Amino acid sequence: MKLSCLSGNPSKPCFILHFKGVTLMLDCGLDISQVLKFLPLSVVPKSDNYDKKWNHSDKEKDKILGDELKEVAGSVFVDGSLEFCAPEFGMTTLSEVDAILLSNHNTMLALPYVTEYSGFKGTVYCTEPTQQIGRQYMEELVTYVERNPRNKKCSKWKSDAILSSLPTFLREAIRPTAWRECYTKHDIQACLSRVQTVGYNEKRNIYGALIITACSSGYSIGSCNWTIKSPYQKICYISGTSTLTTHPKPMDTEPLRQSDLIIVSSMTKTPGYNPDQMIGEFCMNTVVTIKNGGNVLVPCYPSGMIFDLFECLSSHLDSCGLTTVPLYFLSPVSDSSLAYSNIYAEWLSGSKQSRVYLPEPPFPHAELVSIGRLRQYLNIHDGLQNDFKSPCIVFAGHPSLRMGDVVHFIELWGKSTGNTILFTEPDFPYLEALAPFQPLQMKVCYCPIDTGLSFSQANKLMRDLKPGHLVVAESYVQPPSNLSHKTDMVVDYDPPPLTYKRGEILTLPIKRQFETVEITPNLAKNVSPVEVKPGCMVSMVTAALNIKDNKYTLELLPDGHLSGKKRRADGSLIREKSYIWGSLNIQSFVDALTRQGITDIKVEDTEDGSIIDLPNDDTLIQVEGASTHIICNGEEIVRTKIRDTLLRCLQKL
Amino acid sequence: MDTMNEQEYCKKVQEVFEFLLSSSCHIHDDTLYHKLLDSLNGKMIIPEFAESCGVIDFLQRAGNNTDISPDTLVFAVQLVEKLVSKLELPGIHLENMSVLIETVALRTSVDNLSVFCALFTTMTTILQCPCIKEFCLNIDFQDILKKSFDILKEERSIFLSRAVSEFICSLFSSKMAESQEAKKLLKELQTIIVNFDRDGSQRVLSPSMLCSLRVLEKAPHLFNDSFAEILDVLIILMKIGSTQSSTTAARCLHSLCLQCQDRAKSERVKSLVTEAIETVDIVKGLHIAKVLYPLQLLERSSLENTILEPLQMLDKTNHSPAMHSSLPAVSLSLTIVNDCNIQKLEACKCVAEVLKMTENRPDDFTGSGCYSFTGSSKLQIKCLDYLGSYTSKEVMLSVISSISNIVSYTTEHMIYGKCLLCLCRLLPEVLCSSCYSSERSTVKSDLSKIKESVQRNFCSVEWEFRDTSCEFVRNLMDKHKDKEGVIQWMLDSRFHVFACQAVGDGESYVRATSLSTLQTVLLSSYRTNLLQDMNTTIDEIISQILDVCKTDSEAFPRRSAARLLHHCLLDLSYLLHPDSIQCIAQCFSTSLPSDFDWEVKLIVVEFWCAILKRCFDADLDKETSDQPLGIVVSLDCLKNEKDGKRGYVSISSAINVLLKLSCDYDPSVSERVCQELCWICETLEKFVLKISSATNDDNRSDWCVCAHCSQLITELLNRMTEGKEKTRNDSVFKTDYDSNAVSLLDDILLLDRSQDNNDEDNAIDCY
Repeated sequence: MKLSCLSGNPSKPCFILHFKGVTLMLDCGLDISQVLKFLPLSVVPKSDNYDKKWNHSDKEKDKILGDELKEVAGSVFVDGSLEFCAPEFGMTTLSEVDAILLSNHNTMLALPYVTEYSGFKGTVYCTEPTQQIGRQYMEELVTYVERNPRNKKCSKWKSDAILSSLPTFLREAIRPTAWRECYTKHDIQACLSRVQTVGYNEKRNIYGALIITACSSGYSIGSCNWTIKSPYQKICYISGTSTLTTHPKPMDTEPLRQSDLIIVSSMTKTPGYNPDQMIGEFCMNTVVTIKNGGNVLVPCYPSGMIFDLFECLSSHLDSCGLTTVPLYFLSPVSDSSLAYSNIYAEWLSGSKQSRVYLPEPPFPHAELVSIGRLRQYLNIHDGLQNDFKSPCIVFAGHPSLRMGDVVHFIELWGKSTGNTILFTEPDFPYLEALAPFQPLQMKVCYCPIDTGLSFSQANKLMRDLKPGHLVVAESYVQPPSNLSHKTDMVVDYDPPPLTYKRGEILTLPIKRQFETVEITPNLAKNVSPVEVKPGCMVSMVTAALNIKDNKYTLELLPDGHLSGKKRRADGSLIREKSYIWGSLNIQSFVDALTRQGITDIKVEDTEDGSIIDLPNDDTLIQVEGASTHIICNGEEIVRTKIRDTLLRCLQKL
Repeated sequence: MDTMNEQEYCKKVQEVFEFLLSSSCHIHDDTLYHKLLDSLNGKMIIPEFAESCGVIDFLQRAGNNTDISPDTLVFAVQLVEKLVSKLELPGIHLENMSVLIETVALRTSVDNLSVFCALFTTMTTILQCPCIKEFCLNIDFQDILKKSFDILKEERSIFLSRAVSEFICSLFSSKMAESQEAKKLLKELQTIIVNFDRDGSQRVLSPSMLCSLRVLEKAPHLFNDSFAEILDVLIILMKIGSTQSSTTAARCLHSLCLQCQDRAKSERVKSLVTEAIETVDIVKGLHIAKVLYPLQLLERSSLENTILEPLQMLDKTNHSPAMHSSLPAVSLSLTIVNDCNIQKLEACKCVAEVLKMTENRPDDFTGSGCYSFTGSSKLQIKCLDYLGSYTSKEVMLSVISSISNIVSYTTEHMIYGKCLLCLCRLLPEVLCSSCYSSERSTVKSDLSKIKESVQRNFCSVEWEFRDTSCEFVRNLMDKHKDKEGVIQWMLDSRFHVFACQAVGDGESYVRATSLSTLQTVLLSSYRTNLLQDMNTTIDEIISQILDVCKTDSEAFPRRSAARLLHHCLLDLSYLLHPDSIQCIAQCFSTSLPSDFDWEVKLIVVEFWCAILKRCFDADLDKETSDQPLGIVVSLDCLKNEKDGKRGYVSISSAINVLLKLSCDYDPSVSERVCQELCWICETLEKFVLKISSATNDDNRSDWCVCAHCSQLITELLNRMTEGKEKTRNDSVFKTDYDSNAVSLLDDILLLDRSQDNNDEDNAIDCY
């Protein structure tokens, strides 16, 4: 059993699991953080913003580079079309992948790269909300990239000779030559058409070999953990899990118990920040800005935590008496995002579900929309200008600040000290994200809200689930680099967890020892089992083993084969052997020996069994639990007699 | 009480006593005993009344009755206490009572704790009465003392031990102190102290030892005979005893030293105490120092050294691991510094240092080589309490720096509030430092940090933080309204805007505080800044406040809003648009008088009284034309309703509001109105007379003769008389029993009758 790690970012995981002859891909995350190396895609292009060419000190290299790199506020960026770091698909043959299991919308953005460009023939499994929200994320990404495209593809800076001489920020890029351009909307449609949706705790059979089940992970609407079971092994895959009480259905731990191995990924990216406190900070900073007459900009994804932010923020604005401050939500998928969230009641927490029976929409943002306090727009040209009122709070994508309407708002509000940009998405380092917009006057607040498992929660969960083995990212067994003194911020488990990192193949410590084999009724009729111990019956069987769809069946031998006769490869018969079993009854054995004419038998009990002394025949018989030794003085007749007597005293198959 | 009632009362009391003495008496609700006791205590003004009520007979029979319930016995004993301490009883009555006490003391089982507690409490009171000697003539005082001493030695209930201990202490300050019995007891107490187990095995003191030490503390002169032995015991106790024992010993030593005439002896006591403090562990030393500091037994400076020692040690061993163990000592030291109010530079420095160590830090850094004190709210509260009352200039900037860090990260609103209180006190001097000090950049940075934190906390998720922030602005305005620098800093920080914006807060307490703050700002000379910064007018604000008065579901904001409108109209009416004045007047005439909250209605009463007072004063002084309030109510004629004409409320409407409130269901409101009606009536009468005399003035003569005016004044007078009567008979705090003592007796007797009925009735009652 092997596990290959294809992704370098444990929060955007992608694994290949070889289990019982089946090849499974676990998640298909796309690491978008590489877009930070590129210049933002302005909604309203300005000529003077990002126009300063970066000059390489080596003139020859500078000549090769051309104007691929631009300098903004002391930082160097690539002035080309955006590229993404897909997982290391080269580690496996994607056409051999039998199925892909997706955990949540965050871990599926690289899916089109697998399904559309690799000969993949398998099936993709995920829950329905994951499919829909994932689609929204993909569509938003594609729309942002295509809406204001930068058609120039830059690749000269990626050559090893030049890359090594670039400033650190670019030099740190991991395998930039493998970066890929964004897929298209057509790819998304084609890719998602391969998806088979599953419900929580619904069992799906993978080629008869494995049973997969999704169970709620509590992270987002429709997010799940997976259990992968064979009749004798159980592996669980925990990805994007939350034990906190937010809007999704709470985590279901029951199916994860009694597993031989658990693979953990997508734990919190910001272990030093408490999500509850951060929501409080977010609300506080927003209200302070509004009360000071400024505007608030929140770079965000189109779904997930944003629903909680709407709820908490509107409630806090109410408590601070700011009931008239408008909230603008801009995303190419804002309409479908808000609409879908309110129809997935069965995937939500108990409190949200109960609102449906009132009947009320599960999320309060529905009411905010109906009263006109929360307004959604597909982009800044979608009527926003007509309704725009300041001070206001704008939620806009993309959190990387390299694309989407958020770029426009930073350019618009960045010069005023009264405005604030509030980072809540933990995927991108906010200072790097802001680098191309410097110098920036607006206030910057970093309140990352990641409801993923913290280290203490993960350790507690594992102590509860007690898996036989644990597999975690290499970065989870050492304290985060920025909190190196926090030695408790590691996954701690006994036995010590196995670790994975990008490009590594792990041999999992699980050996397949047993397999279930069925027996046909016809064959069963000929079997005469013998009870060797209570509840355990044994019989010799000669049959044909049939393997189909990973199911094993014993059948009667086809006609023409002699039943009960074993043959060698050359067709010659093998002498029929009988199998003896059972414990030797010493008294019966002594009686049988006496009947064979052996006299003066002495029996001595020892710790392990008995010693039978036959002084007349100069022979000792040592009988122990699982063996019997006959020590005779070369008298073959005596030995044979004793052996035959002994065999007669034991039971045979 | 008239004679008829008196007879009925006496008859009922006798019936009650009969019931109490009967074996069937079961009063489960002991508050009835207390009420009866209070009622009797109130009525028994002369001994004869006690006799006619059958009290003396009851006490006599209670002593002889063996079937009496323990609760009734307790009642009887307590009744003795009341009678003996209140009345000059004739000898025969005293004898009856002393017999009861003796019977109870000697015949009742000590297991009956409540009876014995009552007995010794009664004896403690009687010991201080003038008739004590006469009282004791008829009892075996020796036996009672012996019993009390036995109880102490047996270490029974803590309440009983305390009652006995009180009794014994009281004995030595009474006329009985010189009796042979008392002297014998004193001997035994001395023996207990002298024979105290000095090997340290008895760390917790027995009740008898504690009692002996209490007597020693209160009357040290009685122990002069064995001064040396007792001194020895006290010093040992101080060294090896528990904290409580040590502090008790310290107090005794102080007493001993005070009465000691011999200078050498006194010096010896001091030196031994000093040595003991140095010997004992630091926590015990602090406890002893806490006791001794206010007593001035030792030099205060040496005690201060002991008290500050844990804080000074911290300063020196900043990062040593040993510091972790001293947390209790530091905490105790801070408590003592606060309790003893040691306002000295050295103490202030130490406290500021501890506060610095407790500074909160962001979560990221917690545990990275931080002090164990980091974020300790317990220490922070103590430090801030101290620094809130005293901060020397030398440490002021350090304190401000600590406050800036604490307010940035603390999650406890109490700490936040204390920080702001401290800041409020220090701000004037700190702002001076920010201009002139060499460290002005640091101070400015700290103040800027504080400003950001306070702004954030105005918008906190927790309402307590928002409330505290609003309160801070009000404090600043109240305390520093004359200090331009402070107010300017506040205005620059826009705190006033944040505070006043909280009028629409979701939490009622915050709304209330915000309204109070708004009132303070509006009434100050900085109202223009507020209006400019909020980009609003005073009339818009008034309209908003009127909405609060009419629509807010909570009483607190409505109270604050009503108060604000009241003051705005009285003091700022010249700034208000006539429509606003009309709205306020209408609000106080129509909506607020029918508010559900009694305090809002009281504000309405205050409002109209203040308005009327000013109107009367102004009119009598003939200054109506200059008085802005003149436009609120018209004094031209009580009859002449001006509201239709000029849009304001007439004086008669104002008085009608008060008359309506005088019938309010809430007694506190109606009583208050009745009190106010007196002066209104008197003033009106004067006014009528004055106007009547001005017969030449045709306009004025109108109203004094009109039927409406006469009717109003008559109604006022009637209501005032009714109110006075009602107030006399019906106090707010009085219960039904207070107004009708017989009803209490009836209720007790009902319990007697209920015994006759079968249980079926009770069962039915239950349903």
